[in-house]
Amino acid sequence: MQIISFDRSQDIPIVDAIISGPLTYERVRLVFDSGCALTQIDTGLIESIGYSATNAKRTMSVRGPVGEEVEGYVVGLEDFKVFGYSVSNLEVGVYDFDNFAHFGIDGLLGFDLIKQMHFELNAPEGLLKIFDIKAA
Amino acid sequence: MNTKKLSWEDIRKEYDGQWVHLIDYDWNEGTPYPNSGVVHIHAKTRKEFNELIKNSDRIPGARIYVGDVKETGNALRMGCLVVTQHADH
Repeated sequence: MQIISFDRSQDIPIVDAIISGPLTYERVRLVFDSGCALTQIDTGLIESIGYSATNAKRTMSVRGPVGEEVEGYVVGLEDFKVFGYSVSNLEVGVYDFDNFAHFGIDGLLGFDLIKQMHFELNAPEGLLKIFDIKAA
Repeated sequence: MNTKKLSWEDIRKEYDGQWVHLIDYDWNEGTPYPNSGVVHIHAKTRKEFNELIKNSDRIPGARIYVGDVKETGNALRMGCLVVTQHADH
């Protein structure tokens, strides 16, 4: 079991992940977001590790509870590591997160990965206990 | 480029409200913030930050926004309810 602590003074739960691309790898901060179907990464970040729209497997649109549909694309990451587990060729959506830049958000850890996890969220204590990740 | 390793407390004081790229950082697994690191790149906006990163030597590191993640009157909405896939490229 792993115990992840998050900062309860912030308004949203943020966790770490390490994403790898053709040029480099980066430790990044993602929102733990079970309301998001697919893990998403900011366009500028994905380009900084060596991907671009030319690497897209397909285009993909997302629509939230408000606002217009947003166009993006899907790439398969060389490696995505979260909570100590690695996933190869994880498909992530790539979208401009400009509206959230001032919140310090680089992406969303979506339900595509969260649903693989056996976890317990103790929000009052700011603790996320990970018992197992089936996709790993 | 800075080469001095700073504590997270010092980074928070010096770079509050900025995006920073840390290299040679110490970060205990499972904790929300690093213990220390060398500030390789920093910028006040993520757009500028991404440009600086893209034009840098691409040293692997950690990207962190230094400051509070707060709802500031404009509702902070996350998530996507609908995903529409289009034709493969």
